[in-house]
Amino acid sequence: MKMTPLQSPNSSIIKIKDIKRSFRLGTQTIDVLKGISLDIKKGEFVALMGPSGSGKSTLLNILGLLDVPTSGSYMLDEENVEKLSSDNLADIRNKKLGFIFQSFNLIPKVSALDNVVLPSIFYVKEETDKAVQLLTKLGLEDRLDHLPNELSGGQKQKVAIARSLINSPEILFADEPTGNLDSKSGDEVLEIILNLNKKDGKTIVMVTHDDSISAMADRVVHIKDGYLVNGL
Amino acid sequence: MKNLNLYKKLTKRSLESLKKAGLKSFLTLLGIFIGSATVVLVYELGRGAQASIEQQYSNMSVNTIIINAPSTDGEKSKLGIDDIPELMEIDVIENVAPQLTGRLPVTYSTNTVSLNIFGTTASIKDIVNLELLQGNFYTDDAGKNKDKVVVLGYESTQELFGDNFGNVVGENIIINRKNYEIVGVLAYKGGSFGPVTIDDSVFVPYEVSERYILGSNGKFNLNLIVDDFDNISYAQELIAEKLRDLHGIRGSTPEDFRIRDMGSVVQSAQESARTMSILLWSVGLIVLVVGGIGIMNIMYTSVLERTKEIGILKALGARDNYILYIFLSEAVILSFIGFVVGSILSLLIYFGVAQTGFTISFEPVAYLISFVSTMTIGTVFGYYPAKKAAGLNPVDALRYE
Repeated sequence: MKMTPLQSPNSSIIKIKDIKRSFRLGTQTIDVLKGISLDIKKGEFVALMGPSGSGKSTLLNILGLLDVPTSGSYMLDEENVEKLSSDNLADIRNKKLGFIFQSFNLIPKVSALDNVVLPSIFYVKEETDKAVQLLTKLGLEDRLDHLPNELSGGQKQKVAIARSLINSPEILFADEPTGNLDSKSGDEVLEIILNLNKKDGKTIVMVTHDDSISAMADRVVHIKDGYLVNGL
Repeated sequence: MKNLNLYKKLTKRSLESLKKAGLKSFLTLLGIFIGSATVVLVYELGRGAQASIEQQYSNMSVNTIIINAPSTDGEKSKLGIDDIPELMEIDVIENVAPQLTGRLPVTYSTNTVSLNIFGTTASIKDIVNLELLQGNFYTDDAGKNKDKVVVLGYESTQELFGDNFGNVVGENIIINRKNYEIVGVLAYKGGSFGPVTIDDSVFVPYEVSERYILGSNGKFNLNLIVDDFDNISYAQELIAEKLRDLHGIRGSTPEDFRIRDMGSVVQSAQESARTMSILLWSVGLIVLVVGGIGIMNIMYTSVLERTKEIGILKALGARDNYILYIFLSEAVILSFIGFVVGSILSLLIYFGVAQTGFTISFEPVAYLISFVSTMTIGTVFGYYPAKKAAGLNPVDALRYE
């Protein structure tokens, strides 16, 4: 696995300022994020916490370039991403960002190996060898050709983690990655994610409900009613 | 498209869902099958009709004028061979041949076949440019003397005497219980003279055919050859004038003859064939468009079913065009299936129609036209749903259940 060197540990990889996001629901406008500013440093492990409906997933989607804020500025790795085209955003998601979802979001009817290879075919080349390496490292070397529905929850999430790593991203976004898992495989997955941060220096932004998980983070950011409660 | 293999797997998923839908997707694709087949058949029928017109008049010069009696229930037409000497006096008329035709059983020994009886004078030989394989064409004296002689067309001879017939001149055949002596056999000609095929005809002196064979049951007309194409309308006027005079028609009394020139006969036949083919083309096009809407319908269902997958692909960094390609190739594959099934369908129908003897011509280019139009329609109608899939917001697509 390629190491992301921590040349300047204090530089911000994510810098948002006064991010607002509102949704239209019929004639009503619902403000989900009401002005959030946040700095995340390279190699940092940040946990986003808050009651459901507080806007933490919306914030994670905006940080992960899956959603566009209504207003506010966003510097990602010293690049202003506000005005980028959807193709440019797709390229950044592909090369710099990795996603781990609560519901795994694997492509059904495509093997574990192909699921991991998938993001690499949008990038430079098909990284089949690297995909095998990643899956082997996560203990899935005998599950390469299995379809997602033939895998357990924990195995699915490991495949998803391998997929998020295939293009060596700098930042991993995880939305309650253990939410659908039993405690044993949840712990395993958490261990893997923690190692990605501590050993490989990946920046990690994770939404979680679990205080014991957030205790492992470098920093916990609490969101309530669309505002940050603490954190910087 | 870096990885064709994985790309293929993603595309194949849509085909699998098609298979799962089974009858439903078959019904939805029915429009494109039928549309594709219609385009092929329209073209083949159109060409067939055109070929049949060309074939029917292939032995008639454009300088030909045809005079026949209109089918009226009034008085019997006075049109007949007695008019010929007078018509020959018109300076632009080069040649005239009467024609009395009908289909009758003809017997040689124990072999009886149904053939065209073609009662005419020797001048037909020059008009149609007939060549003899055996013997000679009868002369006009044979008619005057009511000699029971015949000249056989090539296929008539084959039917009566077998495919590898020897010299048959001097043999006798029986028509209407009377013996006729064969005086000549024609070389193979191909095509027909008006509605009559030369090769399966039996040529009989006009007077003989009228008195002993066909009488008033035959179809009668005069074929006139004008010296120059430019003189056709001039000739028509002179002929009308002369015939009115000969038949004693004055003032507003309806004429007992009808004059048509070959050019306008062929033209009107071609025009009606063209009208028919425009009609069929528009039917084909409408069916194809309906088929296109079917494809659009399938594609929308597919986009809806795979919305979450689109969201995943986008989250992983697939550009809009990648999604577009996946769905557009689905539309292309569907259209191609439509074309293949449509082609099989039209081949079957082609053979069916050809069996009935209806004029249809096998045209490979029709399949090309059908291919291009089916693929175009499928792609155009598939584009909109594909574009819609490509333009989905990643987070909305991901959230879709």
